[in-house]
Formats: sequence, C-alpha cells, structure tokens
Amino acid sequence: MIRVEGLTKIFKKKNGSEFRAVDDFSFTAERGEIVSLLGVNGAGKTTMLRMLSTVLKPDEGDAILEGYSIRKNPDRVRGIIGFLSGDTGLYNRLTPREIITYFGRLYDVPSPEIEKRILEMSRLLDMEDFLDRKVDLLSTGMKQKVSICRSIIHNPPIMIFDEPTAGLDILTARTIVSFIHQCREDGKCILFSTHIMREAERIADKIEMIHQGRLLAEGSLSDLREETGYEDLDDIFVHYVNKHQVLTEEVTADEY
Amino acid sequence: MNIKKILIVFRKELLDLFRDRRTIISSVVLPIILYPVLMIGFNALMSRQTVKLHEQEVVIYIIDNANDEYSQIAYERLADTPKLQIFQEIDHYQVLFEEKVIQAIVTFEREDLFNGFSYLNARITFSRVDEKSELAYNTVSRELQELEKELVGSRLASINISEDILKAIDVEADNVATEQQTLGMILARFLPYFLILISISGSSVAAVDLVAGEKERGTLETILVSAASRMELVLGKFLAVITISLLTVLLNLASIFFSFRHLVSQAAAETVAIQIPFGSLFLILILMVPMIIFFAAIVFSFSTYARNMKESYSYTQPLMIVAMLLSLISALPAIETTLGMTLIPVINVSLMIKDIMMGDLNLSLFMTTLISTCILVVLAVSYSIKLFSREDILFRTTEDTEVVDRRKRGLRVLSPKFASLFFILILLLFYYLGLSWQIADLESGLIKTLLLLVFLPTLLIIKIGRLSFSEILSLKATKASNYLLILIATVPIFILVTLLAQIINIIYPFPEHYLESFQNLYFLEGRTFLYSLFLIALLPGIVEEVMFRGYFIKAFREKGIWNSIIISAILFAILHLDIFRFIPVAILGVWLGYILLKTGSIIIPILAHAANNALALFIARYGDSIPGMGIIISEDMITWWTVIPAAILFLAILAIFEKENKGYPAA
Repeated sequence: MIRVEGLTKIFKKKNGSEFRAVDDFSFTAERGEIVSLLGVNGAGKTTMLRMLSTVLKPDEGDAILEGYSIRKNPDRVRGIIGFLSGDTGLYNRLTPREIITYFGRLYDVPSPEIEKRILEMSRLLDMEDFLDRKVDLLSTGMKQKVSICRSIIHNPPIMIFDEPTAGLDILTARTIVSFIHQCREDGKCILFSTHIMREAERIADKIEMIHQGRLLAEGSLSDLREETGYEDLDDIFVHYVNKHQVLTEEVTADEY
Repeated sequence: MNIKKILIVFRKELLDLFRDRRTIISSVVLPIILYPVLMIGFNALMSRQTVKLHEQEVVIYIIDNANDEYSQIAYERLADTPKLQIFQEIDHYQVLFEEKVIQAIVTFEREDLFNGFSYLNARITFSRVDEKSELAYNTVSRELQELEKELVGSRLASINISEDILKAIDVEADNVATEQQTLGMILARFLPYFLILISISGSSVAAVDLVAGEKERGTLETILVSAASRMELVLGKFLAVITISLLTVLLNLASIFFSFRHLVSQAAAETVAIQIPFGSLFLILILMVPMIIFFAAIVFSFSTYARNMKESYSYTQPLMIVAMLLSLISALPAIETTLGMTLIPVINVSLMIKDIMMGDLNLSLFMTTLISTCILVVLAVSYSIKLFSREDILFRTTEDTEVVDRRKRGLRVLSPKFASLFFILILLLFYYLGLSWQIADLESGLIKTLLLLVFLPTLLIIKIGRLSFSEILSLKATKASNYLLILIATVPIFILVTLLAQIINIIYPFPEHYLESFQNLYFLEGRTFLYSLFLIALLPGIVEEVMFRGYFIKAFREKGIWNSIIISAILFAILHLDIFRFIPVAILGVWLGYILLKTGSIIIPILAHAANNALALFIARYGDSIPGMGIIISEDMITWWTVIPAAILFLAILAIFEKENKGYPAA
C-alpha cells in the first residue's frame, strides 16, 4: 500500500521566487485498489509521481510504500514499484528481449526467472513475433506492450502509471486499461495519473483531485457525486476548482 | 553501491553504443581506414612527384658576356649535361622565362684577377617557388662547381702545386640522432595534438548519447525509476564512455604507428628495420588514460547539463578548440618542458608525449604531469557524478516551464546575460583598438583606452538602461574610519599580492619585454611624478571602479553576494589582458568588490585602487632612494619574510573592518 503524508515539492524559479509544485498532499492507496490522480496539465501530478518513484526528493513530508520510506529507503522503494508512462521510454537500438532482460537484471531477478516471465508475458500480450526485432522498427502499440512487460518484470506490488494512455490510439489505450485491471486482479496497489475525466470515471476505485499542487477532493465516484450533487465528473471537478479558487482568493485578501 | 549493477549498466550501454552506426564509424572504422589511406596516398603522391621531377628536362638560357676560354668550357660542360637543354641568342628570352618555357637564365661575366688571371662569374636567375626552376638551378650550379674544381686543379698543376693544398678544414656531418629519434621527431610534432583531439571526440560521441541522448528519447526517467541507484547508473555509463574513448585512442594510435612505419620504410629504403618503440607507446598510454578520463568527465558533465544532444555537441566545440590550442603550444620549438609547464593541463601531457617520442624523458617531470592530471581527474569525475544527482539538472527538459519575467523598462542591462555580452564587446574593443592605441603611443593610448573604452561605455549603459547614476555608482557617504582603514590596508595587500606575483614569476618566468613595458609606464619621459600619479593611479582608479564595482558587480548581483564579487573580479582580471598578473589582479578585484558591498560607497574601492597603483608607482620610482627600504625590497623583489607582518596586519584590519561594517548595505 501507499501512504502519502504531507508531501511537498518546491521548485526555485530563475528570479529566485519559490513555486510549490506539490503542496502538503496526503492520501492512501490500498492493495487491490486503483487510485486515480486527476488534475489538469501542470497541476503537479507528474511531480507527485516522480517523488513517489524517488526520482525527485520531497522538500517536506514523506510517503511510505509497503513499509519503505521514500526518504530513508529510496533504493528499496524503487525495487517494489513498476513505473509506466505514455512515453514508452525504450532503447531504440535494442530488442524487446534485451531491454526486458536488462531491467530484470537491475531488479535482481534471476536469469531463468526473467526468461520464464518474458515467455509468459509475450504469450499473454501477443508479442512473440517481435521479441527479437529492434525497437526502432516497432509500432507504437508494440512498443507499449514492451513497456508494460518491462515495468512488471520484477512483479512489483505497486504499479505507478503516469498518463499511461496519453498520445495512444484507441486500441493501444485499451491494452493499457485492461493491463491496469489485470494488475488489480493480481492484488497490486495501483496509482495512475490522468487529465482525462472519462478515464478516471471508468477505471478508478478512488479519485484524488489535484489542483495547483493541492488536494481538492477525494473519494469514490459515488461519494463525490453525492457530495456535490453533480452526475458528470467534469462538473464535479469544475465545482471543486471554483470552490478552491474562492477559498484562495479569500486567503490572499486576508493577507493584504 | 553494487559492482554487479554497475557492470550490468556498463554492458548494456556498450551494447547500445555498438549498435549505433556513429560509434562504429568514428571509433573503429575511421581510425583503421583513415591513416593508412592518408599515408599511402600521401606517399604515392610524393614519390610520383619526385620521380616526375627528376625525369624532367629543363631549359636554360645562356648569356655569354665573358666570351673567353672559361665561358667556352663552361658552355660545353652544360651542353654535355643530360636533361639540360640550352637556348641562346633569342630576343624574347625574358618573356619565355616569365612563361616558364625557360627555367633559368645563366649570365657569364669575366672578372679579372691579378697576374693576368681571371675567373668566370656565372649568375643563375631562377625562382625558388617553381620546382622545375629550382631543379635547373641545382643542376647548373652542381655542374659548374665541379668544373671549377677541375679548373683550379689544372691551374695549380701548371705551377707545380698539388690540389691538396687547398684543403684546410674538412667539415663532416656525423648525425647521432637514432632512427627512433628521427622517427620520433616527425611523429612528436603531430601526435599529441591528434591524441588529445581523438580522446575528446571519442568520448563525446558516447557521452552525448548516454545522457543527453536518453533525455532526448525520454528513456532517462525509466532508468532512474529502476532499481539501480544514481551512483550505479552514473558509474556504469561513465565506464562505457571511457571504454569507447580508450578504444578510439588505442585504435588511432595503432593505426598511426603502423601507417607511419609503412610510410617511412617506403620513403627511405635504406632504413632497414624501423622498430616501433613499444616502450614509448606504453608510456604514452599511461599518460593518456587519465587524460581520457578527464575529458570523458567534462564531456559527460556537458551531456548531463544539456537539454538535448544538439546542445550537448555545441558545448563540446569550445572544449575542442581550447584543447587544440593548448596541445598546439607543445609543438612550438621554444617551449621546453619545465616544472611550471607540467602543472598546466593538456599542455603538460602534450609536452610529455613529445618528449617521450623524442627519446628524452625526464622521469620526475613525467611523474608530476601524471599526478597533476590525476588530481584533475578526481575533481572532474566527482563533479560530473555530483551533477548527475542534481534533479534540477536532470529534468531540465521538462521542468523549465516557468515564464520569464520581461519587464520592458528599457533594456534589462542589470542582468548577467546582458553584462556578459557587454563585457565581450568591451574585451574585443580592448583587444582590437586599445592594444593598438597603446602600441602606437603608450601614454595617449592609455588615456584613450580608459576614457573611450571603459568610462564612456559604462555611462552609455547607465543611460540605455535608464538607471539612476547615484544608485549604480553607490555614491553614498560612509564612515570616516573606513577611509583610513582602507588606506592602511593598501600596504599589506600590495605586499601580499606582489608576493603572489613573485611566486608565479618563479613558476612561469615573466618575459623580459613584459617587465620592460612596466618600466616604460612608470618612467614616462618628461613627466612629473604628479602627472604619472594621475595617469596611473587616479584615472584608472575612478574609471575602472565605475565599470567593475559600479556596473558589473550589480549586474551579477542576482547570482549571490560572493558570486557577484568573484565574477566581477575575474572580469576585471581578464580585461587587463595579462596572463601573468591574472591571479593577483583577480584577488585585488575580490578585495575591491568586497569593500564596495560592505561600505556601499564607490569612493572606497576607488580610493583603494588608486592607492594600490600609487604605491606601485612610488616604489618603482623612489624605492631605491629611501633609506632602509633594502630590508623590504632587494633586487626588485619584495623579501619573503614580509608575508608574516603583512598577513597579520591585513587580518587585523579585516577584523576591525568587519566589526565596523556589519552586513552588506550595497547588496
């Protein structure tokens, strides 16, 4: 499971002022649960996920993943998460088999185990034909399948998806969505970020709305509907954004 | 950190790099093919040229003004010479000579000697830039010199004296240079230069791909979230870069040696078996390994910092040019390997390679070169590792979304960017105008430089940027005690800075003409001391302080207090266009910047600057005539013991100054 407690990330701008990309953010995600981090572009989703995957160091707060702190045990944390983004991030000059084996080795998966898993996954995802072809020559859909395989080679208990369907055609996006469902069936804890309301509506068990680095609202779709009285997630989101803006304006007014 | 993971990363990166056609071409194919083709082609061309030249028939024109017995013999001799055709008695021979139909004109004149003897003067008109014409000259002069010997012999024989009487000194060349040295000398000229360039280009191909390339292709994040730690990643990648670079250098080196041996053995058939000096090769490799790692670390840092591959390549260009110039210095005949030289990066390794090739290696200098390079390697590698773990650098591609604050209030002249451009412009003006003014006339040149290239531009900047003069120039009053403290501080600072210059002089001796130029400045002909004081102390004090402590330090203010002090001091030192005094002037600049920000008044650094220059002038002119000065200055050097009292005095003044001036009011 993931437990995020008051996570904050501050970026320094060129003119010396500070910008809080993620601001005192807390939430939890359980095993067998799909949690969606929902927000517009620039809301702080990627920064949040990068902190959880230990690529960025938080300035305040902490997150505990399966008992490991991202501050104290970043190496352990990286070993138990699988990370997948829409941008496939594959090496063009290597073959899928080489790439998957490389990551498997980095995760300390024993070689026979790697081979076994590649065999299983390629049968499951129908990628036997292109396992030994250079990535350069593969289509986007094929590449995404390779990425999936790469992200799960070490069988991690936690999966993190950063806008996994961004820029993908409908068929490939479907592969990803069914992969996310598969992960839930396997009892993994899943966190995925998106700016597409429909996607969150369809697959998330719990939605964390993020705006300007802060938590706007959280809960299941039905909870949110109940609280706001709106049916459509678009309307619910706009409702919370407006409420947030009124609040912040009041705060700013108080300060002056 | 796990060695196994480093090796996993390393192996994968090598596999990835060798799948790239660019790596294969630049590190393997090019070195193997380039040199043999180059050398064989060059060789073939050379030998064909020589053969062709020797087979050629040359035409000469003879003007016989002597018309005597000797000219007749000489003519016959030349007429009998093979491949030499003689023209005579044509009107337009000059035209034919210009058109290169005739390669040389030989003019015979009779010169009378005593006792009715005479000799023949043969003037050969030819052109050395024309190979055929030179061949004509060589042939004619060789034949005539041989003829002269025969004639002198017969003259002596006619008075019953042996020809041997003419022999008094016989010069014989006995060249002790071994074949290794001869081969080495030719190779030594270009080998260091080649190796340095190859090691940079070799490592840049790999480094650019491994970091900037990963950023560009979006694979960097994937690898950062994997189980490998930053340290394991950076070391694995770094190892791959070094391997590629080492491989490139090795292949190039081997290819150069084999092609060169081939070339030499073809050109000179009599050199039976030229041994490749494998011992030298080994020593060169020992030197090149740290050099390669050093360049790899620099290029790796560039690649880490760059947003994409193109940017990374463009950062490599200046490095290439600087390294090229430094390694070319080793090819200058006047440069000898000294202790000082072994401390300058790139030059030291180039010189050492040259020495090794020439066969005169000094082991202690070799060791200092090796050690100083290794120290650089440690610094560069630790820096590049540090850079790789900085998240603001690694994510420069995506995180740079902030909007630049552009207030269109005139030009933003108080920005580091504008200040840098402005400085480069001033530097160019100094180099192209200021120096030539000062060469033409030292005194007026100095005044013109200070007023037109320093003072005027600074005022223009203030005007263009619509800045307030009092704000920029910090025309604030300060405590009276500060004036006194700064004046007293001039003496210890002058001593310390001069001592530093003396140390530099020991390591890198100042050229003679350099010292003379200072003498000229201090002893301007027909000028009073007061006038010199104005020219050397007061004017530069005001004008330079207005530019550096007035404008530049404020333009770099956003980089932090100490950064702005140090940057303005370095610019101050650069503009003096004087490599020998660079460090002393920079240190003085730091002091001037510091006292400006402390007191907030530009008068203070102006005073300190003018007092410092005045002291230098005073000592140069009157140092010898003051009784007791011999203890402090002997033989134009400040004695070394003065460092202790000077340092104590300076620290004491600094302490009082710090106490009196808390904080940085001008900052």
